Amino acid sequence: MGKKIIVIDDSQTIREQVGTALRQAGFDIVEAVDGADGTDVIDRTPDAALVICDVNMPNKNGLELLEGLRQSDKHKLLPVLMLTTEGQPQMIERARKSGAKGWLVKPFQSDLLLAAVRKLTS
Amino acid sequence: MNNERLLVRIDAVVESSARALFGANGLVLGELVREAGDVPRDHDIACSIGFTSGEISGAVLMTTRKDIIARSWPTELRHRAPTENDICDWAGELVNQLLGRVKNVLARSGITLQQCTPTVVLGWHVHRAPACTTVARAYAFGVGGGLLLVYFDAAVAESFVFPESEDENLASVAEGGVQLF
Repeated sequence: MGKKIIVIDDSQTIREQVGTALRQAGFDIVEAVDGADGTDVIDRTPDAALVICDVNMPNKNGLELLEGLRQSDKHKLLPVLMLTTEGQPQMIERARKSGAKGWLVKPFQSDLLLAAVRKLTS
Repeated sequence: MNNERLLVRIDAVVESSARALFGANGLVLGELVREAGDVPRDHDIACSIGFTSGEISGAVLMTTRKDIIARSWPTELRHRAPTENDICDWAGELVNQLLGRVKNVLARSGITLQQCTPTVVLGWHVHRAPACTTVARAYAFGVGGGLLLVYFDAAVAESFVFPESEDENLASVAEGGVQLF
């Protein structure tokens, strides 16, 4: 069994794109379709090694999800990598202050994503 | 409103962003088709995403054919052909990423746009109704024997002044860029 990565994005294509790249490298992937679903999936996946999370999503956005995790004793140490079209410094700073471990701007290259994931799960 | 500089900037950003986005997904967009022609009758998909800020709000819209969207299907997933649902999802992601690029460029001028989630529509002879916004720009790219139409429609406050210069401190992380904290 590889390390478990939770991929949260409202685009099925992006989830599949990320999942394909990471499965080929030996990771196990669990998907969630938006921020609210992501919160539930994180609760049901205590052995997750990393969360990869979009920002702009329906129901609950990625920054709200991140801030919720940091207030939870159960999940506050779970590393989160944001994967989004957003690149504005204020938003990145908000994520950093909320405990995100990284920020990757779409469209992504699989090798860069994989390098970041390996570093954050090592 | 300093409309002219805004329009010049928007035109440059939307054109270069669309080329870069589709190019990154293996689809080279041709030159802009300048002459006004009839609305294409073969467009069967439209995708749109809204945005807002203090003084500008509007939407980016793309219309084209599903087979043109399918040809930009991500390389990593080309081991299988996209279904119609895949094409719709991918079209929504493309317009999301297009607006993302535009936002990140405008951010350097201090214009911070908040965006919605995308909407995708399927149909026959899909075309945009005449716009009634302050800014209504259209870009027609030749591609694959057809056209990709991109529209940038926005209502801009009378008080809006497009900044003279860009602030590099406001520069966004480049597309594909990674920052680890």
